[in-house]
Amino acid sequence: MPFNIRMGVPEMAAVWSDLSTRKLQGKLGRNEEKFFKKLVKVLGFLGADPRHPSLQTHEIDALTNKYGFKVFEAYLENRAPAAGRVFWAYGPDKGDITIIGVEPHPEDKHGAYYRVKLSGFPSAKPKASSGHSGSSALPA
Amino acid sequence: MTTLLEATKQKTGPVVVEEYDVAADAKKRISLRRAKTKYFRVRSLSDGSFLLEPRVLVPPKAISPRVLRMLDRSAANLKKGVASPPIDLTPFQD
Repeated sequence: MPFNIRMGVPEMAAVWSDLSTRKLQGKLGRNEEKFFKKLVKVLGFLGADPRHPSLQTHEIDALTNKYGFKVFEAYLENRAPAAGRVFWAYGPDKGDITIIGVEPHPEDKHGAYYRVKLSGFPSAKPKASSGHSGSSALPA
Repeated sequence: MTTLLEATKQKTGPVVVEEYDVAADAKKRISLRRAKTKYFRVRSLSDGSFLLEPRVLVPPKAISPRVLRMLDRSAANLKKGVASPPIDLTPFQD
């Protein structure tokens, strides 16, 4: 059974509108072009069969519990360590699939570095004014 | 008369486990001994000191805050039955 693909509002709809308009105008950058091609392919598969093997669709329990309806994830590509992901849910009407999010986010310029975050180590505040006494001085 | 031992306070902060002098090479690189992580946050202080804090990578399954915000808004609208009209993929499919 084919599904209607809808976009979540406001951001996903805006992303799709922007990308599709610029695609028709031939104004997509090289990376945007690659991303858009993968996205269209995945959306085509989703519309035809959400359980298509190449999508590797699976439910994200944490998001399902958070939002109160089933949220699924599908991959934009296979055998890629940093594959993009599409988050979707059934609805709002029967026979509809709504794309509620996509990763990488269009504004994430450097995804890999963005993921580097501080571990549980206590934060150190540099004391530039006080005389720093060499290697034995450790952050409080 | 009974005497009680005074409770010893546990130090929770980091302690010095090794102290050494190093010379930077021609490209101003030094090797860190006993380094347990690959990534560090480096703070360069005005007195010439450097502070290194270990960092870890977020698990690849984690969702970035921006995407999570996008999901929150879309999900809230979807719950109200609000989504975009169905999109047409035909102009973009080969």
